[in-house]
Amino acid sequence: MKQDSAIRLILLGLAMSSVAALAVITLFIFREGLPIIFRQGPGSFLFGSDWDPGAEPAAFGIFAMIAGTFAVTGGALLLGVPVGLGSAIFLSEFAPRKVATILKPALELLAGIPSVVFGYIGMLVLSPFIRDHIGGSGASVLAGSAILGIMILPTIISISMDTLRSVPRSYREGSFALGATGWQTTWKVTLPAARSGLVAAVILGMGRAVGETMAVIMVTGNTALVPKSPLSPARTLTANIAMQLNAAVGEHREALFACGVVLFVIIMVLNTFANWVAKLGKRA
Amino acid sequence: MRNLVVVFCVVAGMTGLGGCGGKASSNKLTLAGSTAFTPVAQKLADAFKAKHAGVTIDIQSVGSGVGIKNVNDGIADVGMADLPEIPEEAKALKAFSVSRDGIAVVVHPSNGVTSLSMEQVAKIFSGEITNWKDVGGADAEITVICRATGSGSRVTFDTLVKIKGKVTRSAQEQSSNGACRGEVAKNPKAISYVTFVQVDASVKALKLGGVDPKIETVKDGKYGIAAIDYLLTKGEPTGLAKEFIDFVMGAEGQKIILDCGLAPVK
Amino acid sequence: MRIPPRAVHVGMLGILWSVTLAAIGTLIWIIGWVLWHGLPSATPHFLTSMPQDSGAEGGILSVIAGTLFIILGAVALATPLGVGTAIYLVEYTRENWVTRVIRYGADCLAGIPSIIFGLFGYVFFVITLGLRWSILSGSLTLALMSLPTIIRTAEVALRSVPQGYREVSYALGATRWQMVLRVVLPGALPGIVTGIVLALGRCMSETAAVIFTAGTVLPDRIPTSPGDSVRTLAVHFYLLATEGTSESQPKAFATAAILVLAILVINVSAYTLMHRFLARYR
Repeated sequence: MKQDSAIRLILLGLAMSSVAALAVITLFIFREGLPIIFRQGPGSFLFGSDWDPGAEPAAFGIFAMIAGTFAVTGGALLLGVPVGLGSAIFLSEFAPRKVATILKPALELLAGIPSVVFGYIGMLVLSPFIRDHIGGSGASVLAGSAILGIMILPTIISISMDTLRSVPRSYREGSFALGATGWQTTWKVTLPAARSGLVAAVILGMGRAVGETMAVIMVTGNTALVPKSPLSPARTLTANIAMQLNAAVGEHREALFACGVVLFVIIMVLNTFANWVAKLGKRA
Repeated sequence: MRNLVVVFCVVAGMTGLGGCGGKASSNKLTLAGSTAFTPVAQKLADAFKAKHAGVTIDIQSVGSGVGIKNVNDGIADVGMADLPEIPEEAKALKAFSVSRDGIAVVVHPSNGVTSLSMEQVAKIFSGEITNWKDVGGADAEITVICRATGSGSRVTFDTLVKIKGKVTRSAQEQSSNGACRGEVAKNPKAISYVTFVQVDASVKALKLGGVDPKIETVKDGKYGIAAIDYLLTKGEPTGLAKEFIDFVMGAEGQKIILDCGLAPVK
Repeated sequence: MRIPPRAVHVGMLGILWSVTLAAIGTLIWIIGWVLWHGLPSATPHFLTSMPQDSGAEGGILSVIAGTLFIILGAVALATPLGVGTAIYLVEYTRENWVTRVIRYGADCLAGIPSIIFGLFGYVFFVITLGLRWSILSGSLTLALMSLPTIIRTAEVALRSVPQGYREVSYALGATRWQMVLRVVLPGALPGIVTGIVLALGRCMSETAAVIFTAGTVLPDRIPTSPGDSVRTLAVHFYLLATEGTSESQPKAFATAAILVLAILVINVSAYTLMHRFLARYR
């Protein structure tokens, strides 16, 4: 029995590794990034419109990047949510079993394609297309949103499908027995029953879009201005960090970690919210 | 807590292993710095290694500022920086200027403009001039593309072009010379700047105040925008670092630099 | 006029069919585009020779080696932690606040963007621990990143081993650890391996977390120590695509094609493994 409790302790130690990793990551990012936020004042850091680390004195206001992040993410959701939910509903409710067992893993392959490859395609195909046929310089919120919209599909599809499949068969059978069509059943019975899981899927997809880096750098033009239209270029928080980390020393570097802090907080809020929504559904 | 101990044991153990391949060996040289100078440094390193069997040279392309910091911190043996002059934070280092690297102002090949004055360039990048027709081109809005803040090329360009005030806030930013060229190659309304090495048929390099962007004009000082490429060491270079710098400054190294499209100092 | 429900059903079905086809079409197009542009330059010589002239000439042998070292190192570090976590969660405890904390930790870790891992790896492993840009720093960073994937798949795999197996094992007088070691782990092995393979794929496609921890050195030799700095395929592709000259673009495409092919093979084999595994207990 002694051996058993020793093993239990060791395993518990291993199991705490992810919690410990999370704690150490949080600690280091905050330790590097928080001082400058408070030195400058959270208000002027978050809502300052001027990001100019090269100026004397340097200006670190990240409002344009926050706006850029949400603009690109919002666009990505506009594209990714209908397509993602649509595919998930189709595959779980209507598609013949064989089709679904082939298509679901195929769509999940999208998640495996490296973001640099998405970015490259965006850079070589999508942004020139936007410039020639829609307008602007091509490097734009629209290009970023389109690429991200595709990139978040696997997240949305696989979580939504799992949720939809967990809706008990009897719900659907009851509806069919009342003479409802397949779509009526889906719309009136299955979707409401799966609502919270679907919302969680969308929020997690949003988290993925907010955190994406390399693909965005390559297509959005990285202008540190609040975008005025979908055709304006924009810079996201992630792009700001990745593009300048290599050139940054001193205060500039601290400011980039401060961007990391903001990004971290946004992601944590989204994840916690998604977790909470998903739990609500399970309880109901 | 226990797992932290485990993790640290693993880390410590592997660090010991890692150490052997790190600084300890005397036949390994680590260069770090300017992304623009990296391809040239790679060529120099290849030629140097051909003459010194068993030597390895690692080149980290991390940007001039970080390169200087790494040498200060002892993470790199030799720093590479392309800047208009030695910056304050590198004053304590030993600096060797090995070449001058012209920065070309580039536009799309279809752009009718072939020459700009230094003043016009400054006004375009500061956002005072926003339409190509104001500098003799077609009626189209100018897309300004510049390098990320902190890059050596950006510092050199902003300093030597004497951009009054700031670079326009609507400028797009790219993290490397190659990315700047790539964007200009795709966008007929764009203007950007890249080092001479990066100029190819996909973009058009403009005359600057009537002076052709060529190695000769950089060498005699007529061409206005050129960075000085520095190799930096902490204290007098010794051992492999010294041999490498001597090689770069010697006839063979300077020839390679010239072949790469840079103006040698000798 | 009210549209008859049957018509709505058919109409919606059409819409759902088309968005699904659009998603699949995009996937096929992306993979096809990369392979079409890249495969012609991805010759055997390209795979087996060292890069020259900053990658514009020669091949990617040292990059392939660097990628393998980094991702295998990452998975070797993450597997004991991840599988240990899963065994604890499934075999050694009931749901309580500790398991909730562990799960929350893993979920949060899974959601953290790779650039944050890059920032962290850079200050912690590269600078604070003094590991510099190296295979080791890259592997450690990626290990943290792939931990949630391994935990999750291992947990699913362990849970799918039928309860009866455990009961029989106890009935024969086995201790809990003997039962885990001899019965549950062998039964769950294919599922656990699936998670490891998926984690390999995820590490392989990563750029932002690796570029700041493993560095940008393009070695002209096979790395010999965990302290060496290397590029992974994804980083090499990114740098060639954005920093390279026009002449190096065919090499960039070829690298992308190899990268995508490798990831396809990895993911398809992971899926096949999982499929067979689940079928076993169905």
